Amino acid sequence: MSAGVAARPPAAADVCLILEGTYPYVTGGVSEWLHRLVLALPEIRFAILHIAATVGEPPPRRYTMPPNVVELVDVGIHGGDETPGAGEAIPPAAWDRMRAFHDELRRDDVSGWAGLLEATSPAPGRGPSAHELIYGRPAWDVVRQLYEERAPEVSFIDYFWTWRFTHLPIFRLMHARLPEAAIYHTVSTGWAGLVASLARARTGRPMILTEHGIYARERRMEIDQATWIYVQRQTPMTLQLGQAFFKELWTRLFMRLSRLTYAHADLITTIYEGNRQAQLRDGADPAKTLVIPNGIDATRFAELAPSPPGPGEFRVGFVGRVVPIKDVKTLLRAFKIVIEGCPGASLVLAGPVDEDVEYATECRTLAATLGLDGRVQFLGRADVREIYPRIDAMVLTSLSEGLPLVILEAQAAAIPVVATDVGACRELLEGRTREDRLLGPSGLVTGIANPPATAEALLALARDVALRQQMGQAGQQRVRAHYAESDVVLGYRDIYRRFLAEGSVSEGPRGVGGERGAPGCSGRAPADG
Amino acid sequence: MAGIGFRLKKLIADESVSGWLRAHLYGAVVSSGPWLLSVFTLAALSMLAREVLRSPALEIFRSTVIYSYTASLITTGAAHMVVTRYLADTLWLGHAGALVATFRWTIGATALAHALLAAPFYLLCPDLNAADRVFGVLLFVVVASTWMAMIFLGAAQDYASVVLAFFVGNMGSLGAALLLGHWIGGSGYLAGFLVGQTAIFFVLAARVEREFPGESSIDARELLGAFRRYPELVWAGVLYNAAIGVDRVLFWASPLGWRVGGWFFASTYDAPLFFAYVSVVPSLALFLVSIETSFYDRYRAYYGAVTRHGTLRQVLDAKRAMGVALRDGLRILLLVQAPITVVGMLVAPWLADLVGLNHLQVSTLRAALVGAGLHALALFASIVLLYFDRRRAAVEVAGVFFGANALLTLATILLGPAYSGFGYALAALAAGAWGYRRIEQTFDDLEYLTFASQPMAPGH
Repeated sequence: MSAGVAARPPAAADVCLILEGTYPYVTGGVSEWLHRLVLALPEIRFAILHIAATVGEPPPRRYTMPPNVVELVDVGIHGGDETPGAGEAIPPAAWDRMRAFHDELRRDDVSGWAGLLEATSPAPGRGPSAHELIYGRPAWDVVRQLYEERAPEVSFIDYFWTWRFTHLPIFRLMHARLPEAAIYHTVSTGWAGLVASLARARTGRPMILTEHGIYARERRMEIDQATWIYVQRQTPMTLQLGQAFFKELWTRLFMRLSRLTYAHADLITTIYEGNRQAQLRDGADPAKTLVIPNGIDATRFAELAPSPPGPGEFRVGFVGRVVPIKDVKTLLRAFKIVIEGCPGASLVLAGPVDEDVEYATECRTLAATLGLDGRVQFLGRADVREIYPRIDAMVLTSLSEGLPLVILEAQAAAIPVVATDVGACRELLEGRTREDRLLGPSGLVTGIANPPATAEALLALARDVALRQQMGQAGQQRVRAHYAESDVVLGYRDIYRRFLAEGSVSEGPRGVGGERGAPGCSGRAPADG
Repeated sequence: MAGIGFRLKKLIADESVSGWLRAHLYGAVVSSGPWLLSVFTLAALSMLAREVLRSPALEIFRSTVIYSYTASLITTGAAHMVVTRYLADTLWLGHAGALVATFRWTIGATALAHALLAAPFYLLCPDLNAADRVFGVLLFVVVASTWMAMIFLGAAQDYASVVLAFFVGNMGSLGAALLLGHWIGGSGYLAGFLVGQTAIFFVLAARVEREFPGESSIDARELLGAFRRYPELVWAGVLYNAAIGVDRVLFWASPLGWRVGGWFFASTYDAPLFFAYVSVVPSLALFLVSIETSFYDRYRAYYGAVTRHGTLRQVLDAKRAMGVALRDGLRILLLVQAPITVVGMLVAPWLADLVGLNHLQVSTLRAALVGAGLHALALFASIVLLYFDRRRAAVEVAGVFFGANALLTLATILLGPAYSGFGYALAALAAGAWGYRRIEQTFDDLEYLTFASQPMAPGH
């Protein structure tokens, strides 16, 4: 068996959540979302399979487990070593099938995976052990043959260890004990998606995928930055393979784990339309996808009594961490232009300044250089409920976002928003569905890293009180209608109930295979790295 | 051992015949010098003592020395390979300064352990005078400590000091034994011999202390960890040294053996075996040369191709070149050893006459000559296996040697005196064959072993 598996006594659950590096050990947006989901559905019995980067004692829990969590299983994918033992031998034909599957993968075809799994490891503990797959000769022969066919001109030691590091998690997860449950719900693709696909293929029970961020893309950005992956010196021989051959291997692995998860999921949800489009580009079947946005308790902000601005005053607010990805410098430069057009403008920045002290210092210096002293206030950590009543517009100049809760909060408080066109910002300000768009815009969308554009949008709001009120109203209606926290919970309750009523899904997952012709990410990762 | 390779290569690079000869001679001296010097000292003392010493005092003296050498090689054999490996690891990590403390600690432990081992034997052994008992224990302790000191000087690649120490010490043994023997008889011989052997130890110890100066930064007892890390090396060392002693012990207990006094025994098998051992000295020298020069270069090239991001094709090319070097080394070994063995067998009756062996011992000598040649091949196989870190396979070779030598020697004793020596020869053949099978498998599988047998845990 795999190393590092610790378990509580098993009990059949309704839903098994499959998680990777998050709840209940790490705090953050996804963990909060999960904690609230589990708390809000006390009648559903949850099991949790948590995948950690390394084996060993799990870190202390950051959340108290609600009583409806009946089981928690920890699995580590790296570190430690395998218990010696070959496991069950499989016929040579199964190894041939494994090779054939890798050829199909080159065409992004994952349709043979379930059959391969049936032939090699129909259940945890069956088929070759993780030890045999990492150290054994048949697996070595497969690796060697794939190397000789595909990349005989690259460094073999790096090829071999890249194979080991990418495949050890697969082998360990293949043999990890899976909690018994009626529904498997993974909250990312990647390794958790692999476990969910294993559960789907082996048990035939329904599998749901919820992606908050697009896993394969996040991994690709990390891999592009990584310094621990060998980059071959270019020679005429290696030129055609590309310098970043091993980075591409890693990127492709995660891309294919996403495809595998999309192919085996019975339902694919994400939190905004832009993400859904990304999933479709990566091979998800449109018929299985669904947007279930994050929501908030709007009443907490709607009840705040606003204090109206004085004559000529225009109070702009920023809520967020002062870090480079929020591009606060663009905001300061935009605000310089705003002051020229609207001398009564002021800017308050609420949010931690200690995450990137150097950047925060640069921002203060920039504010001083631009002559904004007295007009710009860095508050640090603050209670946002005290900020919203005292601002007339909310601004966001981020370079990247998911679904920013601060926009939902501002809208709930009937404050118009100026935001860059990243993540869910446009659909939050202009509406996602047709019905949503009919509510009218609740803010203005601008390009990224463009101070004049941000300034122009802010000045438009500064000059037109009626527009501010109109957009504030639209935002409040939008949040109430489409982003209520209770709706999110009810949405998942409905989904769970529907699948629990259906029971096991006997036919194979729909849309397995690569026939949908979704454009974009093919297996050979695009050369943007 | 790596260090003398450079010296040898420089000698060979002269390209002249004399350069070749000097290189091979150097190899012969460093590998066999200490052993030969001690053996000749003992032989000389035996001959010179005949006129002064009465039986059984002479036999007891000889047996005390032979027993001390044989037994201490087996007991220190348990530590030999582990300590060698630990020293190589420590030097590679650049912790030479720690070695003086490690050395003192090792010698202290060795001396204590061997005193405790020898004390009951000499205390309970009948027919010995008090002085012999004390000197016997001391000789065992000194000789065992000397083997341990040689490991440290081997790590420093100071072979010249080893040979010089043995030369001076054995001359001292010879002189002191004759002098003290003349004055006080049998116990004087042993005391004198002990003085010279003790001198060897102290010369070697002084060299070690000078070789590794500096402060100790690591705990000397870390050495114990090496015994836990490399248990196979303990077994390989014990089994190999037990294998080369077991046949003699069985013959002592057989009808061909006799008691020389006390708990000391001898047999008609001892002398032929000794001459057979001498016949492999040239081969061992050649082995040293080929391993340390052409093979070692190819060996490094292979691992260089692996670790410096070579393609699999480059790795396999390097492996092929290494295989060629290994086969060349083996061919030279066979080309030299085979004629020596054949000539030795032809001149065996003449040799027997010269050193006073009977006609039954002539056939034993012939069998033992073949055995010693095969024994050299088995040793070659073991060392090559250790180069590829196939420690288990090295244990297997030593285990086969020990088991086969014990069983087959027993069988030949039962078959009669005409078969003496065939057990040893067949056991060496079995061990050699086993070793070559393992080397062949290692080579066939080398890239698999190099990559796929690396553990996941310590990372890359």
